[in-house]
Amino acid sequence: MKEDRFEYSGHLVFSIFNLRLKNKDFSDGISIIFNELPEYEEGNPDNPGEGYLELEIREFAEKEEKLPHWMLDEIDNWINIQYKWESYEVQEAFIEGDQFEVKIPSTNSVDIFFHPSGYALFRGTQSAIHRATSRIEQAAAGEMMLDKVNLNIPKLIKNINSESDREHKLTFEGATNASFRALDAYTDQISLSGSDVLSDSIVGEAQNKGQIIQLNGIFNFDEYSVTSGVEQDKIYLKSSRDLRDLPSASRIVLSILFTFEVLEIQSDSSGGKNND
Amino acid sequence: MTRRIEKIASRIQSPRISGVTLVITILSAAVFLIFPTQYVLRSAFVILSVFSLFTILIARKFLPEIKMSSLQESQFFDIENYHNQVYPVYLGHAKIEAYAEIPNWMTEFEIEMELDGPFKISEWTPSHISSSDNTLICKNDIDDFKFTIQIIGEEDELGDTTCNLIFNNNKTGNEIHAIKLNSKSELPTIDEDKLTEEEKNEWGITSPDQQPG
Repeated sequence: MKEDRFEYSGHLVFSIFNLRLKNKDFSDGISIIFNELPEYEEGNPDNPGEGYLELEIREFAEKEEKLPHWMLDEIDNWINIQYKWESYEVQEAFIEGDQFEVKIPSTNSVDIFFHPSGYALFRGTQSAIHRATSRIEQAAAGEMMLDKVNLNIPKLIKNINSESDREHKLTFEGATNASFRALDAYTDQISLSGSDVLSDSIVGEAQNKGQIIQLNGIFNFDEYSVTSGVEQDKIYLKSSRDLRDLPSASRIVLSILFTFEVLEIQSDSSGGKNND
Repeated sequence: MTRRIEKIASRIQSPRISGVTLVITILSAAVFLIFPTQYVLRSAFVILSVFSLFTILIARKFLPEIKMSSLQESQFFDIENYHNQVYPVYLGHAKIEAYAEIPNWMTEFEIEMELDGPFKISEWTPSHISSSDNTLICKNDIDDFKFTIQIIGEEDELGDTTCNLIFNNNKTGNEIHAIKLNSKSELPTIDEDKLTEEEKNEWGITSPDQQPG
């Protein structure tokens, strides 16, 4: 039976990967996943369930009627799945005074969003994401690789500031703080306020101290204001400001599109996705 | 000048030249047996074979070889694994990052990956390096490169096994790197609730104070 509501668990933290394929295009690559991974079905201790489920977030977001049409159209370009698997933990239990071994099931999952440009966003804990990427690569039998993206945060800041041929929907309202890894590998934080963080001199100063590894701030995305943190290989959004008022599917859609916008702006002018 | 000498030495090192040397040595032995009284002929062949062997030995000893290092991209790969060069393969999959340093004298190379286990190798190389049948081929004069190796196996067929992955320089015939692949049927479990804040950061687990949505 189909669910009539979309719910998600966990945080809105997206780990970012590049989907690399050997002599195949995007749709062939996605076909590999659908053909080689089983569709998820509930299992049992002898045969734990494992596989993918298609996430129909567009349909749910449309029903929620909170997002503009362009966002719903945009999310249509994405392939959205959930990789899910069961594990059973053996525990001892006493039933009417007798000791038995029982197998307690637990279910883990990772939400995965693929964009034709080659980006793949994974939402889940790091250990679950590790399992999901390994399983997908294993199923693809060496024809596909998921490479972690290494975001260039100074470049992102520069590109948000600069005039670009590509009209982007993201502006910076203000920063809350930024972390940088100093040249001696000691990690420190600098507190920032307002739009000061975007000035070249402050970015330059931070870069002189070391490498900027995280930027937290408030962004304006289209008509929405969101609090987000950009790290080298992940982007997270807090459920505050405009995101708090949105129902689940709309929240996910907005978060995916926001994340993609950050990636696009960051790779702008480089002629492709940054992976250095 | 040094580079030219290295290039000459590198040619001497090639399997073809080594083969020629072997033939000369066998011929010398034959001449020695067939013409025991032909002193000049015998001496010439002996000197030639000794010189050839000596040149190859010197060349092999003094010319630097390709240097390779590797590291597994996994949260379960630790310093002990690195020290022993044993790479765990969980659930039929492992991803290994490798780095090769090419000596100056080598203007082209072929690195063959030889695997004695039930795995499939898939290599992901930079565009200027081609790969075919588990062999990396480069005809450009490069100093170094990074590449990724995927190790893939059918989980049901693997069980707990260990096998070797050896990297050979096809031009010199030398083994340049070797690792062991250790297939595991169970993935280690991590109880994220029991991790310290530091460990959570290391594992990339978002701490609650970040309060993402």
